[in-house]
Amino acid sequence: MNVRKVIPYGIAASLILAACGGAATPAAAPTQAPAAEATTAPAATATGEATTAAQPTDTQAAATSAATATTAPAAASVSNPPKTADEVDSLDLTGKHVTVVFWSHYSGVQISQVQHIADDFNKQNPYGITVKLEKAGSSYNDVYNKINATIQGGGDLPAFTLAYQNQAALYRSEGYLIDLTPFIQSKKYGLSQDDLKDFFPYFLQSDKNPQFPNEVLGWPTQRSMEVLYSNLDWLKQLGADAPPATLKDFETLACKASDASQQKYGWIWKNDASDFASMVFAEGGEILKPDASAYDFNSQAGVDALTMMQRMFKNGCAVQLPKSERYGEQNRFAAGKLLFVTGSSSGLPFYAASIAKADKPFQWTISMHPQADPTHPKVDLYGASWSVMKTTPEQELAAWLFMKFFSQKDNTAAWATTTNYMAVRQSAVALAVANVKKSPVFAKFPQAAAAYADLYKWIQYGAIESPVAGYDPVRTLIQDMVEKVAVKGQGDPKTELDATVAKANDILKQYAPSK
Amino acid sequence: MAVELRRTKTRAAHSRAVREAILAYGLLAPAVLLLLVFTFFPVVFGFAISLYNWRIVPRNFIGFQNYATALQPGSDMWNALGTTISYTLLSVPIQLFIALILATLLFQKLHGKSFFRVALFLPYVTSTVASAAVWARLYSPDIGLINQVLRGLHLQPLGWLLENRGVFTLIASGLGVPLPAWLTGPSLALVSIVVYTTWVFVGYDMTIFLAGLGNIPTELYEAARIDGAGGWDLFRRITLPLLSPTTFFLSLITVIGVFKAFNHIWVMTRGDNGTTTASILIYRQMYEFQLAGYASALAFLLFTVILIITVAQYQLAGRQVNY
Amino acid sequence: MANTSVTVAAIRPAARTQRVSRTRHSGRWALYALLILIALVSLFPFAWMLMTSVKDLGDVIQLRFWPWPPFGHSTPQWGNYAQAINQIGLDDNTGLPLFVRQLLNTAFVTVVIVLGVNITSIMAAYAFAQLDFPGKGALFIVVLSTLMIPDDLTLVPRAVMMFKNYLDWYNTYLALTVPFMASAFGIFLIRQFFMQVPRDLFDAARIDGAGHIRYMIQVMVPLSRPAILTVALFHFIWAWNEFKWAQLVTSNSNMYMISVGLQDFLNGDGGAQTQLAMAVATMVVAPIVVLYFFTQQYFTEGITTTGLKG
Repeated sequence: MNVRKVIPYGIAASLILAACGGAATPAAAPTQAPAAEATTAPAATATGEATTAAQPTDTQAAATSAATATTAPAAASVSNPPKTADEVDSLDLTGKHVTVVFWSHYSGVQISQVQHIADDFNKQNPYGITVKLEKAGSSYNDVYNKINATIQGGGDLPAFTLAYQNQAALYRSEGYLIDLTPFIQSKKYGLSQDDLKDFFPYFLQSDKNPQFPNEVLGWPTQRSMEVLYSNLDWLKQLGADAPPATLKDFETLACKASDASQQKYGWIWKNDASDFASMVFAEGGEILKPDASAYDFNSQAGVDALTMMQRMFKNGCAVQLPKSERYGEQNRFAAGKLLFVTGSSSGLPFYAASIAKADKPFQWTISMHPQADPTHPKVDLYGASWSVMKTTPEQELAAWLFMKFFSQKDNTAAWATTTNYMAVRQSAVALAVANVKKSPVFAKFPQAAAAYADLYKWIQYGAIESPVAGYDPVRTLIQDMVEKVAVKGQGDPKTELDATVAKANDILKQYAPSK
Repeated sequence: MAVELRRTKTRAAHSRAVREAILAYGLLAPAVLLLLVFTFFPVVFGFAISLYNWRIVPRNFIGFQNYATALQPGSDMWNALGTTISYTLLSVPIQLFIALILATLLFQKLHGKSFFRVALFLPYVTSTVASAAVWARLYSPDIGLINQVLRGLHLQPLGWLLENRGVFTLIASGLGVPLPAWLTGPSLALVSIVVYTTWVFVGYDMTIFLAGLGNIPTELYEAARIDGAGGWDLFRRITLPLLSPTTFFLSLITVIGVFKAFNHIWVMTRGDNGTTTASILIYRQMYEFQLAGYASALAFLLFTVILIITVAQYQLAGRQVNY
Repeated sequence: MANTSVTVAAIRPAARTQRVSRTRHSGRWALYALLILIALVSLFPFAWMLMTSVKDLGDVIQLRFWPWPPFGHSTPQWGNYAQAINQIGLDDNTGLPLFVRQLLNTAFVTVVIVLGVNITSIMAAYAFAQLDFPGKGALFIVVLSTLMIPDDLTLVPRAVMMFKNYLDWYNTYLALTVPFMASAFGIFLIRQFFMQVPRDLFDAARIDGAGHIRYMIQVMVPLSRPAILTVALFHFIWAWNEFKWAQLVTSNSNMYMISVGLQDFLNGDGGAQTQLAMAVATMVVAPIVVLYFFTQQYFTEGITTTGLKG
């Protein structure tokens, strides 16, 4: 067989076939689209027809059509999603045995804890609601991809899901996620004013979104903070008694500690945009303008942050973590190869477990992320929330009721203890702090356990990166930029920041909810 | 009577031919339909998709705007095209060269021949996600075994998958020679991936070379040996020319395989440090950003170019092959 | 094999035979040494994976290559395997460990693809090799030309076809199997074998009253075993190791193939410790390696006997 001679024929044949291949088109019949409007089948593309954006954002139209789907007689007057607290009040779940599915990537002790609370709820709630937990991958990103994939690929969306604010904003702008305000305000099912006051106001605030004013797109169940992990024994050798409070001291110590010939470094870039955001905050800047009109991390603060990172790499004070080794910084820190790590406070138990296993366990702790001006600190406070997807008013209510149950004092404290996330209610803090101090994981590391309590003092300095739709691709842009400018030392920080911000603003526009 | 008989005969023959044709179409139907629906139709469908602003769902018809975006000077597409070509130009000759040497070494009376064969073939059957995860850890600059060994030997540890500088630049700076910017060469990260790729495929290529070697009549060697030819002469004057069809087909398979290369790059670098090949670029647009329209446009542009280059190359190379 | 470019006359005069045999002797040792070295390089990543998979976290942190006696005091941590499976979690539907579920998915998908490819290929190859029908040449070129269409060109539209509003196969076994149940490679290879079967056999079978189908199943298929086995084995490997497509069309962890499950584990927010990652990798690799050990002569035979006629 002479392949050489076949190739041109093959190409010709494939082109011809491609041209008339439309005959074999699989039926492009729209099947049960969860959204009110089905997407236009691209079969229409051949005729060059312009399809309209298939965004079921028109909640009014969607509401009337979808509400009829519910069988409850009372539901006839309730729009989907409910628009007022009164509408929520008029819902009655008794005897309906609603089942709601929750998506998260929780695993190990986390999922056991959620399951435990869900079991309690399933037993105790008077409405016969069953909460079912489903594992949607192994990371926040997996859950996000899975929701997007379901929106475009098909299948059932969960009644509620774990999501970051910007992810929730995307679902909301596509019309798949609902506003929780009517549920919170409901007299029958909502929260009392006293109850609401118990939540850290900042945490509640963080689920509001300037793109959707006056809406609540998620309910906080977990928050953590970008902090500085320090090897205290090593710091002592370098002549420092405590972790650095200023960026200047941080950089000096990091460089003093670094010795490339022994693979010892002061700091590690772990390809995480939040590490960059924290530096920008520490320099007094921000990622997004408060009104969400544009990204502005190309401010002087951004330039200072990126320049410092560039300098640290140039001077051999920092190292990059390979992307294929997620969380590899923990082992390196435990092995005494890293003086500092900037990372989420929720890593506490993992660091403790790794360091306990090292040949020479050392004292370590977390402290506030070093600041340019420690008298006016600003720390990156983040955490995914639980968001309710658009299903039926009954399921939406059932999901809300579980979320409310989950954030009761005892449950919140138990959850915070298990995960080392911060408790979201002030009344639960004392219990969570006491539990962490008692935890055997921290038995050898009293300073680290004590530092957990400090987190609550820093909430007042909290700042959020970006709650708007499309922040995920922007994070990728930021990571690529830091890698190029800081890690590889290519390009001028200001120029590169400007270019990245321009691209980020394009994405912001693309993903902006259509009015 | 005679006419009648002949008519029956032709009718019988005719109906047999019809039945045979029906049987043939019936037998072909499953395979051909599947290929039409899942290989040919997507080409057309992909073109249609590429004309849309398609993020998660199709939003609006935008004509050739996706193509215009992709074709902007200095865009990701051009980089990906360059990377794919460098990857191919590096990978294919290295793979085939080593495989040929190994095949010639193994094509002798040896003890434990099948052991060597199995040992070299094993990487090919292994999940590339798994083996790439292993290699990525071996390559790790600060804690990886490869650099540990280099340090142990008092050699300069390298950045491997994290090194985006070109290999020529690295060599030149090691020698202290300045090098013009255009002559940086492929990034060390890409070369590291080429090393991995060679590890995976060399056993497969070698097995095919061995089959090719087996097809060369031994009398030729004997005749040449009687005339006093040495090993190198035999190799150069008999083995290489007679193996050229094998080499040709193997390089065809290898080039196709290299274009497809995805899993290991995805696992090891996700396209960082000059390793974003066409495959990676397209996949990221689809999987990470849900931009089906842009991804389709990229696929069309990249693979038209690559197809043209391949065909041209094989038109040329094919002429050199001895049959 | 028309003519070779070798001209025997052009070859240099004889060398002394004695010298040749002596150099050959020491050369042989060098050859063995070289081959063993190469084999070790080839096998080393497997050894490292296996070793790491039973290391203690502390030894991984301290980068100990061989933490066991006689150089160290650790013991192999076989518990890592159970710990890894635990960390991956349970399947919400069946209650099975997710890893087991993913292993079963992979086995099922692989078997369906291998059977499907072989059945469709044998049928099509028979038609091409044995039957006459209008459009034969054109159809054959159609089949062959699919080899020229790069996967990446069809990947995105094919994935979109799986979505709702189209075939709605997203997250189903259909998406993982059906698109791959026909293979131009398989058709071509088996056809080559079928063509070598002498026509007389068919005439003899005809006299015995066998039709085409019976002849195909009872005579052609057994005679073409090497080709069919090769097709089966190669598709087995490809299907088992499938990652790219599977990641694109499945989002339920209980629909994952193991390669996707592995990548998911490596990138999980739970933080996969190196030793656990390697334990999972070992479990992903082990079944195919075992299969390969038992069938390796067929691989070689398959490649050798089917040769390079494709």
